[in-house]
Amino acid sequence: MSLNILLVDDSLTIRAVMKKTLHLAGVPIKEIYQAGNGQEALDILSENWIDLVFADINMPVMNGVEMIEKMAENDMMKTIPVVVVSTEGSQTRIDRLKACGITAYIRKPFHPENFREVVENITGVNHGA
Amino acid sequence: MELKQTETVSEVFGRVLEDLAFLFAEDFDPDQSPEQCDENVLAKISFSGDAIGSVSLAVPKAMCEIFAENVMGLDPDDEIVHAQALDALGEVLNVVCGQLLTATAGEVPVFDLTVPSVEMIDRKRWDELAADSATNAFLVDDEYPVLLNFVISI
Repeated sequence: MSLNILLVDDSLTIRAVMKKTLHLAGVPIKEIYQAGNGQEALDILSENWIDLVFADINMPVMNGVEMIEKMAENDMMKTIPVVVVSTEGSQTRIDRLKACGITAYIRKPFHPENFREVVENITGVNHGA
Repeated sequence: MELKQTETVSEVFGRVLEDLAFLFAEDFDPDQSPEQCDENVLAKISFSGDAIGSVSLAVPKAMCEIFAENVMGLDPDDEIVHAQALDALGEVLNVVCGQLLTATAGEVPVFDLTVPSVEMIDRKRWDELAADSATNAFLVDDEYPVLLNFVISI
């Protein structure tokens, strides 16, 4: 099954790196959408079928936590898995994010194996090394 | 109370730079600033929460493009390398800041980080930053001087 994936990060550099990393990880991709903040992400989510969201926390306009809370209030969005990709190293903050409903957490700097493992856990499909 | 973290800063910066941008950093005497220090960029992130402070990274302008090139794995001539050079510097700083906070404060405290600000600085500002006691100086890729200023107060 190929996935529609949404990448949310205010850094175009990091979105480019995440896109490349997903390909290196062997994740089957149908289409990659990109957003520079939480509000742009919600706009894309309201108009497109998205299977999986990778989102930063620290962003202008609308940060990742606000975006996750908005998604949780929306019947169409609340079941979409959200993986937070952040520099955040506080276990306290990560636990709070998990309590908010995020599916997984990847810390920057990341590697293809991090993405492969997370996607395999979410989809239940082994995408190979 | 301001905390000094020289060894931690050296270890974290070296590890992040190697992991994120495949570059190597060594400690450096900032008084030996090479000529390319006349055109420099300063990126800064402030944080608040269980402690307050900031992390600033000053680099020669040419270093920003090398960050973009290496972080994204692109050729030097790729247009996006030039377009995203300052963004790449901000993101390197973002990762350094996150790793520094965990290394110095542990995994329990929670911090709120600002979005990185980036500005051009002149030689005078560079020299001021180099003379700051909270600044660590590095030589990256055997060529580029880099200043990392880390201030954390509890």
